[in-house]
Amino acid sequence: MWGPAVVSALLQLLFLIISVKILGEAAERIGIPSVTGEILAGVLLGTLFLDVETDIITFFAELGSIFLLFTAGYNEVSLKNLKFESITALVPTLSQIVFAFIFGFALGRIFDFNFLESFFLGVAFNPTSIAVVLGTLINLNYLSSRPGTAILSSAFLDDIIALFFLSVVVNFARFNRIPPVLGILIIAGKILLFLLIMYILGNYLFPRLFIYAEKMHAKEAVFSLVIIIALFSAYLAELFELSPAIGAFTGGIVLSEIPLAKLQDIQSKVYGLAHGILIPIFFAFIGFLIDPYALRNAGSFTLLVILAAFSGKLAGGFIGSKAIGFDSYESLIFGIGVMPRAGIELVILTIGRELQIINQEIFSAMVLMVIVSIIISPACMKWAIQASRRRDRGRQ
Amino acid sequence: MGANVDRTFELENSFSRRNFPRGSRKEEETEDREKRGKHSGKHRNSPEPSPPPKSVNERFETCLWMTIDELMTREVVKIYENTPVEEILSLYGKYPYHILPVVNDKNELVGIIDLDIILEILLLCLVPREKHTLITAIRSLGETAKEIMITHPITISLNATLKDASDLMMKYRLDRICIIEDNRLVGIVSKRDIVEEICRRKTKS
Repeated sequence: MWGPAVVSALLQLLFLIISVKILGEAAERIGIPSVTGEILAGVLLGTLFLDVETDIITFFAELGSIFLLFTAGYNEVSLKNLKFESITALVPTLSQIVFAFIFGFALGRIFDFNFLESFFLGVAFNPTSIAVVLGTLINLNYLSSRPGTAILSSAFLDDIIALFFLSVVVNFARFNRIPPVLGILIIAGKILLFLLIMYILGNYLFPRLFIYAEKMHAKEAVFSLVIIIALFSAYLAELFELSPAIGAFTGGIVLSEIPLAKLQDIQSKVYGLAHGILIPIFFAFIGFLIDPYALRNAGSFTLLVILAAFSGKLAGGFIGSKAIGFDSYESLIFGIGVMPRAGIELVILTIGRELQIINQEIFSAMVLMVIVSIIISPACMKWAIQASRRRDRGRQ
Repeated sequence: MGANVDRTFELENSFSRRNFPRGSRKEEETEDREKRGKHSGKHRNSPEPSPPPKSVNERFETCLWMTIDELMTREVVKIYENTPVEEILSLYGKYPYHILPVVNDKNELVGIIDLDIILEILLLCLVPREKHTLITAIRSLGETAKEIMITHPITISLNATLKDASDLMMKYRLDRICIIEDNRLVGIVSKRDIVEEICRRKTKS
């Protein structure tokens, strides 16, 4: 069992987990989310180890991406708690989604990417990570403001739409071109069928399974069942030729209202497995995949990607907020709030790279964009909120 | 006397049988229910406590026949789903509650609010980064009980056995479980209730 490959993988895994935690902590102490440190740990792995056991670490990273999305649906979202805001609250959300997509697509076209690559860029410009700015909003006591609540509403919607379009893009990739209208209908049908099956399973089969699991003598039966359903949903999505990401996310949402699956005890075990081990390895793996030479080759593309990604969200958010009556500062704050990308964005990028929709250069550039967005968004948000408050004080 | 000996013999047998992995849990449960049916009848007719324990086995076995409704608290403090959060916070300030069940106007249990949620709301600025999630943010902005509660509470039904409740408590470290009948809240049983009741019966006998 303990062949040489496994032994060196063990060492590399050990190094990864240690460095991920240390660098993540260093990042948090400086004031930026630990993701940046975790990605850096992966870069370090690439430089320090000559012969990385890529297969084994890749598999851990893939599990990490599945659990990233699973916990997003399972732990971090509550459908029943979501108040349905008025329709007007949706306008800034939709506008920033549309603008981000257009900017991404246009960027692809400018650089002569084919339709599929440009479409993927548009989709990849979409997701938002609320965790990045949430700390700033809480610290500055700005969460209950109009832009604050609007940012919250868009966070959830953003991710769902991005995942939906990701499935579409993944299917387009299998055709290797844009399929005819019939193809599009079939893809939509597949997505709907998958969601329908998950809904039926989640309402009728899974609750019963949990009741049986609770009565089982086998150890940790309920926890195992949660993991089983997470992996099963990812696998089922793969069978339907959607990405495992959307499967895991749906699996998480489907489990999020079953009492036995959401016992505090079980939640903390899942969270521990996911955020303690697997997800950091996923982020480190992304760092490992970045090719700094590719970044240099990409040159101006990298810079334009960063600018386009930020301005797309900023402009879309700004215009949408203005349209429903926010003042300039509030609109700016909303735009900044939807700028940062993190977890789900990185999952989408890895899927694009795996399916060879985007090449190494685009991948590295986009990851750099994610890192930059994580670093500067909290600072920009803080500046904007303080400026807005100074202006308010000045008025009084 | 003969009846007592028979009962002890059955109890001892059932205890030793539990040590071996059973083929069918269903059999075990129907046996439990039958025995409970016999003995709860006995309890209602004879107000005296059970005879003094003859063996270690018997001292512990009397508790197996307790049903949840003997142990639970019936007068549960509950709140309606559109109670404002300020009122909930003042309730927590005045009384030593642990969890507050939330019911709708049909008295059906729709959620619970526990100390963890209240702590997160009150100390929002101190919330650790791993809790910077959408759901924490939504809860902190919530204005009624409905918006901050946990919407999927663990419940057991009125005719559950002590074993069901204690299983949940011992396996998943739950402290309190809501008891429902037809979706309506009828009581709450806590770890402390169970411990107190068993200790009380032990010292009585």
